[in-house]
Amino acid sequence: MNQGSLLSRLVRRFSVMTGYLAAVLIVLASIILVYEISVRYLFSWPTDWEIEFCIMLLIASTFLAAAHTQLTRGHVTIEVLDAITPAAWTAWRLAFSDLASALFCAFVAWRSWMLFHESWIEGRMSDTAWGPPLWPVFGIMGLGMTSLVLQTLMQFVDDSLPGALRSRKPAVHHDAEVQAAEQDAVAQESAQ
Amino acid sequence: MSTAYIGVLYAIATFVFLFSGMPIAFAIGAVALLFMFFFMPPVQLLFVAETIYSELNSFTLLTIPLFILMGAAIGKSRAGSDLYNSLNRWLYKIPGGLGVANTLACSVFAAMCGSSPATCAAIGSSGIPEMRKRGYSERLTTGLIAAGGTLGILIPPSLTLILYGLATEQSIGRLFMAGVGPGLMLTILFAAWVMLRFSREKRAALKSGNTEAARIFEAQEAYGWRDRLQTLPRLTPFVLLILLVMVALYGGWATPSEIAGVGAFGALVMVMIVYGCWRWSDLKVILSGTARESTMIMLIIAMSFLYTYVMSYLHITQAAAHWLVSLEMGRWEFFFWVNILLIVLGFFLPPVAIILMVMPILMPALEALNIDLIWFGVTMTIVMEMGLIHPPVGLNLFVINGIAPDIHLKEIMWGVVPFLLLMVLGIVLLCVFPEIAMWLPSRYHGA
Repeated sequence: MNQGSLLSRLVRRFSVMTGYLAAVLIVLASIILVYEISVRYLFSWPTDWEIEFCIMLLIASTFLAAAHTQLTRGHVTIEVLDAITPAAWTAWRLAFSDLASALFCAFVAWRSWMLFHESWIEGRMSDTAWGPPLWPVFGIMGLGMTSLVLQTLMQFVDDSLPGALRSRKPAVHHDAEVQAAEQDAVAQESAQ
Repeated sequence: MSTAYIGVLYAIATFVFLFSGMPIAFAIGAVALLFMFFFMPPVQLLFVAETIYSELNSFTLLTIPLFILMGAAIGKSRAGSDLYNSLNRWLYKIPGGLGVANTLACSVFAAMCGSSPATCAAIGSSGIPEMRKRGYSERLTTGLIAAGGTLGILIPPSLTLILYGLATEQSIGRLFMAGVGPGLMLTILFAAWVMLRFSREKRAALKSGNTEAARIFEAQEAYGWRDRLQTLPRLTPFVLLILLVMVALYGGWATPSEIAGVGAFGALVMVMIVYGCWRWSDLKVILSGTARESTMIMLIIAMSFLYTYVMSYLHITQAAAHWLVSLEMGRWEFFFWVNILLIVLGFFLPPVAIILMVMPILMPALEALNIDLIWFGVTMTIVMEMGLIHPPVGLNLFVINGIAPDIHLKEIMWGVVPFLLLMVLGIVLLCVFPEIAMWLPSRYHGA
């Protein structure tokens, strides 16, 4: 695999790191929910922050892992045309799709940072009983989308653009669910 | 510009972007953004991030990453092969018992994880080689596992039913309960077919005079009680966890999101204790798999919301729904054409995108025709299941191809045909006997 420039390696490393962090947030959410149910049933304590905090963790996790998923091209795409169009067409189409994805994500990233900025300045809080500040989650949205843009651009520069210039048929990438299932199969086979 | 004109443009743009090779999430997001730019007040564009956030800020959506974590933890452990081995040792005496054991293992595993490809991989990686060794044909083996895997999105916890509940504002608990009966029905249909087919294959092999084939079929396995009980200590905690999840859902003891949290945490702890998956190298695979799969689905959800928000703002949803109602089709005629549409969409799109993009348009017509939304959710899920095993998307086909690369994809595709027909039969049975799905939810105690 093409290791790419220093920048591309740094972006890749950051994507992997935020991916693991995202999963840790999901695990943390599950622990908080176990705690929430336990104190509600066992001690009849009122619970006000747990659910909202878990929702925030999972939104943060979604954006933090976006670049990690892109790194393995795990975002599901429609691949029907790949098999039936000539290699050169497919290669150019995929280069275009990387660029278009990066543009779209860049817009969302920009709006997320603006939202972060506004809520920081205005001290915006969630309108619930717990009422936490909203800037951390908006900041993570911005960070996640920015790292997704960088990751996609790096793949465009290192992978899809050179592929298009050489009219090389792009490799088949399975989406994250199939990737996970393939890893499951490997785990099962090695266990036998 | 009329709504119909904008609607047609929207559909064309969606088609072009989806087939451009862009990930589905970004493609539909980009279409929404373009139409916001051209047809909506500019200020709407400034609220894109806020719209995405507010749509994801949902208690129900919490369930999705948590159930994915639960499935990833169990999927990466040896629970799948233990489950299959254990069931085989109990069922080996009946004709086609190995196939039946595989079907049941798929169905039980589906209740642990909620993902079809994961069920396929977990059971298929030990089930397929074993069935082939025992003389089962390649078509029957691969078809059975591909189809058995699809039970993952029908038997609760099911990510597809969670999204359906979200899109149609139906109770997730009731939908889960409604998935149990049809899940069992399909399990029985698949098991019955595999028994029938295996007996036929065996008879044909014995008649053909091929001594090698006859020897394979006549080779008998024998398991004693010690063998049967061997894997039970490892499996019991997981079976207890599923029972706890099911009973808690049925009894309405906690919300599905809370139950998902307990299930995910419980599964992770059990995998660490029972299967010793506590090293970083083990946990790393579980964590990265969870993060990627969860993000993939959550981003499609987020962007689908943006997409349907624009559709609704531009009155495309309302106009399309109104048009559907004005067709004045009969109940069953409508149901038939909707299923055809769903099958066609299933050629290209994963269940999550289909449900979120199509349901807002279909819902008014379904309500006008008095079609129960819970019942429809279950039949729709079976149609989505079919999309998982028919080409070209057919996720499960790729998984099977990965497990058994020496079996030609064409054989796998032929192998799933009888199972696709059995699913159609299942839908017909659900139309004739809706109680198969509705009996359990009618006794459901939760919200």
